[in-house]
Amino acid sequence: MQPEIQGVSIVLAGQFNPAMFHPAWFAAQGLIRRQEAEAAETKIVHPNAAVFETEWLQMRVLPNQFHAATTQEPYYEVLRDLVVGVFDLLSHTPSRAMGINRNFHYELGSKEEWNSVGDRLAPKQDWENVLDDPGMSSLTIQGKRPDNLDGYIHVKVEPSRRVSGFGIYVQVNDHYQLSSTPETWVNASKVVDVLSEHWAESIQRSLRIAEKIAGLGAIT
Amino acid sequence: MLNSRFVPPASDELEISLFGPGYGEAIVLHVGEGKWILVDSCVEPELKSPASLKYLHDLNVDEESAVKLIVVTHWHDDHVRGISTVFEKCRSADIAISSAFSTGEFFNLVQTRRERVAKKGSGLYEFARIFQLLEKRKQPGVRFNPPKLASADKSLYHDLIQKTSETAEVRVFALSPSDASVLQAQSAFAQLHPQENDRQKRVASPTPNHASVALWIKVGNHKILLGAELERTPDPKTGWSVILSDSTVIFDKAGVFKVPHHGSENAHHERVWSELLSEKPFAILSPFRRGNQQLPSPADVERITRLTPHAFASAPARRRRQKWRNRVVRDAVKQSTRNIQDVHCGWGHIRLRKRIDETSPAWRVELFGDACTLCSLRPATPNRGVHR
Amino acid sequence: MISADSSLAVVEELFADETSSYPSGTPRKFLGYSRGYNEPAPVEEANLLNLPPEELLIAPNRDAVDQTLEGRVNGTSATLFKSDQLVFIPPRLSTPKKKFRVLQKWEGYVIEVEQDTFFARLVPIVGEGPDQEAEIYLEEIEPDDRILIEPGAVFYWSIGYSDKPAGRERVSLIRFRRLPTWTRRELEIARTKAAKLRDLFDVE
Repeated sequence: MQPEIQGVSIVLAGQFNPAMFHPAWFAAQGLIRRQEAEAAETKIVHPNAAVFETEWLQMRVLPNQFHAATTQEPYYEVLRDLVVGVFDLLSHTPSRAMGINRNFHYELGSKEEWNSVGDRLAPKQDWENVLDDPGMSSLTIQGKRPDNLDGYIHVKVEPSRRVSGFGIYVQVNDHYQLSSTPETWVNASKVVDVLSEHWAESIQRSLRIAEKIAGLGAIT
Repeated sequence: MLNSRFVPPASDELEISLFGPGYGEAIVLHVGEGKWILVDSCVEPELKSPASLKYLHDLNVDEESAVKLIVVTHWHDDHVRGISTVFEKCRSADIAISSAFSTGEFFNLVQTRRERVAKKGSGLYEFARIFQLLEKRKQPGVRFNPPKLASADKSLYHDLIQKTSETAEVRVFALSPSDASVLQAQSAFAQLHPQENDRQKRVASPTPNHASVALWIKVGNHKILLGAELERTPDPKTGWSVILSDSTVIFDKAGVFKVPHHGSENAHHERVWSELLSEKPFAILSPFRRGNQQLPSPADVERITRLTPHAFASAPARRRRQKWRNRVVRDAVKQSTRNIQDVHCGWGHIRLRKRIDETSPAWRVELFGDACTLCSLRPATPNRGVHR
Repeated sequence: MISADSSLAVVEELFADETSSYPSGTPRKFLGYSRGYNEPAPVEEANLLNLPPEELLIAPNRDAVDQTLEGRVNGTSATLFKSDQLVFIPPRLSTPKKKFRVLQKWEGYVIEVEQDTFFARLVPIVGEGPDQEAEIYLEEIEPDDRILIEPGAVFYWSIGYSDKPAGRERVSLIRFRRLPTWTRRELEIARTKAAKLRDLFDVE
């Protein structure tokens, strides 16, 4: 099943200097095309935040969060390379955690199929004793990482508001805890290592999870 | 009925298997008593797992205990695909690498060019992983076997195998690289180092492969010469020339020859055939295609089949064209490319077996997948077949 | 509606910095609000900075602040926040107008460059088929990327459909990888790491 809309974002928790993340800086470092930098829509570049968009990239940097995203599949690896490039250059940036997050909006074939997903994920029998006409509006499940890294995998499922008809939204947050405790920091070079080694399997795993959930409605 | 391919060799049976997809090759040897030696690695295209591990798994062989030695003769892209996984799984095996890979120049190359993201097929990525695995295994208080360094006349493996009435000696010797070859390899590695302001990119694999490790294997009275990528070079202190002049470990002649460098003319040395190989040896090779280069070329096929009728290729060197099911992809590919072909020319497995105490020069040959006789690749020659 | 019980956040003195790219004359104090990805939700001040960016919105000028107060910004209702703590709530990213459906994607690397083509190895990431070797026309590459074409250069080739408000079109997109060039410091770090590999070959 193909999603109607999908995207990927790479989010880092750390200590950042938003003011430097201007499109021109990315172009000067050779990380994006000069043309792209010139055409970028810069919403703000300020010591407390940098937000800009190009044709394919959505960038937002706050003092404690770095967020790069795209909704265009041809640019998923380009996005990864961009983040690798940034933290190759800024390898001493204190970092704490990283998420490779994917969002999917699926359009299901019918209301029955749509309800079926909700019924499978959140069976209603017990809820019918306490609520009238209960329905699943959001569900989040956390699972362990399948590798030997610290972190977790969060999956959130909700009805989709971006898809016409009967849609479901699946968000997979593939969370890597880079520092040994939530209070400590590591160099951003660890971000580069994790992204380089685990990107492909993270992307494939998120897709598998989303497809499995979207396919629940079709199972009788 | 069990597919004969999955019947393991008997305890007193010698086996040489060559796998080849058209880029890269893997050699698997059974030297008796359930002991195995693996040389290089390639990946089965459909399954994307190392061919040697898949084969051992199909034979119900426990790779963790049965594999005794892994030899890495290459570092070139696509020639050692999956070798780090092989090393990871074969926990009891010693690993032998070319001594050229223990030089500072090579370490530097691995650190700078190992390709962190576009990794598939990257030889340097495989080596980076091997070094990481070695670092993990090297723990204080734990017995650690450092990699063996293969160089001219160096012994890599020695064992005694019990046959029916007597024991047979198993020896694996490296024949190369010579000291001069190591120096040339170092120089080649140094030239590939990035300089300040160079872009990050995959490194092109230079030829010739000065680090190449040719192997001389003796099991009982049988000798096998694995030619790796060793070439005929003008410098008498390198390539085949120095082996022919200086080697002290070669006694008698080999009955099986893994033809070097995919049968190419510049890896052919007349004296190797006349002095190191028995008459009409069993010759095996894997093909290679890159760009406009096709090996073995028709002339190579002609030359080799004149030297021995018992010559086999793991696949024909002919390329296939992918038939795109999706017309959008088909149209886009047609518009953007002058030419596009599958990289691999097929997938095949050549297997030679005989009992260790067998005295006749003949081997039992089985061809699986796209493996074929080299004769069948001559122009206007019909089919391959099972050769006995 | 302002919730009397919840902690609220206010942006203050944010645009005192002249280098900010906001227009001058922007008021120094304004309100921001949070909107959940699918539904509005109240957020405690301590959690504001930890929200995923798509949940944060900014009111960029006084008019929008007034509208926010009335709960009418962007046609949605919202819960408002106010506190003495300085908090910056950045602008919301726009909803992309283009959707791309990839049918085939390869990661490729250049083997050889010729007059008007280059040879490349293609490894599939999405779609059918084994590894390919292709001779690709140089004119298929964006002018800005042509300087990147050299043996070993990595690129991504995607083929599929792009759906825009104007309609669907076929797209074939080749984009070369961009990573920082080697710096002297990085080369030294690599050499130091390389030197340590020698320890693997020492017999204890």
